Amino acid sequence: MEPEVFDLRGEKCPDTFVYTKVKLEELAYSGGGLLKVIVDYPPAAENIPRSLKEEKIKYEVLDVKKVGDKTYELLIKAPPV
Amino acid sequence: MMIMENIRAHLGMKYNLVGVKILKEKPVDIEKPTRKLRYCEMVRKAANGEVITAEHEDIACPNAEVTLGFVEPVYVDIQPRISPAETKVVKVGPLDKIRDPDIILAILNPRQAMEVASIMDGLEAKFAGSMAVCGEATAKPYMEKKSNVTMLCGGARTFADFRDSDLIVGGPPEFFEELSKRISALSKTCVALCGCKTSDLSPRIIESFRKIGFEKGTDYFFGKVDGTNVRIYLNKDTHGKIKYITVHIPLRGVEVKAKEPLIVKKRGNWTDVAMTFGLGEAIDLNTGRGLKEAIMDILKKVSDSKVIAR
Amino acid sequence: MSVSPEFSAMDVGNLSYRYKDFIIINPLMRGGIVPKSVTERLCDEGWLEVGYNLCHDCIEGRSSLITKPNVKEFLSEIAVFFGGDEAEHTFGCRAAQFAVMKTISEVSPDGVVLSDPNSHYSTNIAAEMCGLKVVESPHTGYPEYKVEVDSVIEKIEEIGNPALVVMTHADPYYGNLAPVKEIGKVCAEKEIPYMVNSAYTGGVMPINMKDLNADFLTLSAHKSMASIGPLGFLVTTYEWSRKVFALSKSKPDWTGRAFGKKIPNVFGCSIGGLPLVCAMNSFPYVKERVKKWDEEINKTNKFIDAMEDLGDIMLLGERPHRHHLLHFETPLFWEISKKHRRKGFFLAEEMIKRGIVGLHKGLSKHIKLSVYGLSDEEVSKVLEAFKEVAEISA
Repeated sequence: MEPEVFDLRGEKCPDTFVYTKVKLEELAYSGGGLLKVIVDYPPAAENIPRSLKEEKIKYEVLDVKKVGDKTYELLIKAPPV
Repeated sequence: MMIMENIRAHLGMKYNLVGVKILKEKPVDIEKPTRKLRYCEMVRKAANGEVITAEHEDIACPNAEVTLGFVEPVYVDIQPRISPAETKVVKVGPLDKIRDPDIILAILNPRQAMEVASIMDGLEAKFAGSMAVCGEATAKPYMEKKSNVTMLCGGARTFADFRDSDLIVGGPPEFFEELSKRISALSKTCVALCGCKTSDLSPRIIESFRKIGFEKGTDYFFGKVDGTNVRIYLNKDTHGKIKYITVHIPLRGVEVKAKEPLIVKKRGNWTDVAMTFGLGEAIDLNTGRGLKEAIMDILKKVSDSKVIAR
Repeated sequence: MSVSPEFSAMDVGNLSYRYKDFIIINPLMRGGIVPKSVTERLCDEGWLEVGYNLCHDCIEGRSSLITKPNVKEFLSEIAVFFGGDEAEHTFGCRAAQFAVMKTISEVSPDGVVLSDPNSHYSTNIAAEMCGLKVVESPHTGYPEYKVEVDSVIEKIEEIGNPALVVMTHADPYYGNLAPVKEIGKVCAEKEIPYMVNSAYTGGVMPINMKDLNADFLTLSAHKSMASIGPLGFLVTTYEWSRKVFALSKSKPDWTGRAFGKKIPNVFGCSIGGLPLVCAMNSFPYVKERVKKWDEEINKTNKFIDAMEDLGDIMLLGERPHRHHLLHFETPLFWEISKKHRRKGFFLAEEMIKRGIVGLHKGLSKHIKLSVYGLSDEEVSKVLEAFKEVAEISA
């Protein structure tokens, strides 16, 4: 399954998490799926996975990878709700 | 702590200074917050008077967990942060309620920060508008043992009710102790000199008279020359500029007949013998040049006058 | 003006105090009654002999800075007691309000002051003196005349940005308590400077201006702090103290004098005499008595019921009543007055005959009074007196 790409470059905390959360919920409520989040604010790569642990929906962070100087890609699985 | 009152009063701060304690061991009895809080929220509440003690599980913000040293980062090395991550408890409160704080935070407006910078001969600031209260104001000064200024971050302004005009200066206690010390020194030098003044006679003029044995009264000078009481008054023109000098010799119980330019005035049983002359080139009040000679000249004129009755 | 040669108002006979040992029920006075121990001490120690009695050892140049006796410390304690950072004493509460208005007028020239509708006249005069326009929020009208949070908020929004919001904590007309805490929260959110006039509350009930989010608290020593007057206090936070208590920068041009220790907004140097000494002596007593506020309110509400039992008498203002100032409508006494040869004056005069003073002379339709600080025995005496007067058939 190809992940949906969600480009959050240019955004900073707390918006990086807020937008990710909204997007993941949309995904979860429409049957679940994979989301690739791209951020260029490095702390987001650290805090998005941590914040997702607090969510009621059990998201799965499959991968966090550095793809550029400051750019990271997060691969997250949203279960169907 | 007295330094809080001193700094707040001088800067005109509405809020308390906030003391922050980073504990590596959990104290026995701690009162935990009733809900999860962001660290910036805790600081804001502390500024308003609350003392809050939080463990890792009480912290609502994932950035602060890392920056305050509760956990090591997993994916990205967030900076600034307290490392190694050995923090068990963070306690914040008004400075007078936090004993031996590790870090002190001052919520200021730009005018107040300017005054701090001016008093401390400059403030260094490194900020990026992110992880501000926890990282830039707390972790960075904690790790580097020096102060930092932060313009806060979106999180603090969104969740912790900071105002648009708020910024934070964070630093180790030594920084704020020094600030308080300098403020006290300031108030000693300035305020003490701001007492009620009875005249605008310059220190240089006062010194000129002192050199020839005259002390300043309210707005005149008094002294003795060869045992005779002499008073000197500096007359001003209508614009308040000193133009003349009058030497008064108050004599009690005698009648004096004197010639111009001496003026004789009766005041009860006192006779005031006086002479006024313009401040020409012969006298320089600022250096005292010619002053003594002028006074001696008048005294001679008086002693040449005829004392009618004693 | 001419003065009759046979009569002078200064004839000491005319100056004798007629109401020694009376029970005072004037609601503006009850909170200001000086404890006997304090009046005795002031007389015994000779404090009444000179007007500037606090200034003997002043080397500081302003009465609020005097350390012998420690006026400075006293004012810090006042600030702490009311939850503020700094306090200055003033020539009455009105002077404290003036200082606030003056400061606001400098920050916001031509600003609008939003005031509650039950404010004391001095609030309006202070604003007027400083060129500030007063806009009032409405009250709920007869018979409660309450100030409600929503109507204040509505008015704040209508004005846009008031330069200052003023709430009269307990009002002088009905003794209602304004929702000072709720309004404070709104002002803090909107960053509007907020003044609470506590002339009728500060010193009789517990107040913490931090809890109220107030920037300024104005107080009256002779109304509510067991002191002779005139004396007031202004308590503020460090955020405002630099502005409101700013030192004089004046330097008259010809003499070149300067008055750097004086505070223009409190008229330079405030009272350095008997009222201040009295308030300082009474302060320990005041600190203790505010702890008994609940008891006072219970007593007051019982008194209200007993008064209303007398006949055609009804309390105006909020119920249960939360302050000691009481305003009754009294058709009962009005009916008697219509036939009485002393007309409206009969009521106050009959009470005076019974050793009770403080009702406004000439009024019988409405009366304002307080039993704050009176013993049960004294309250019974007051009630008994009203009962007797009510039974007078004209």
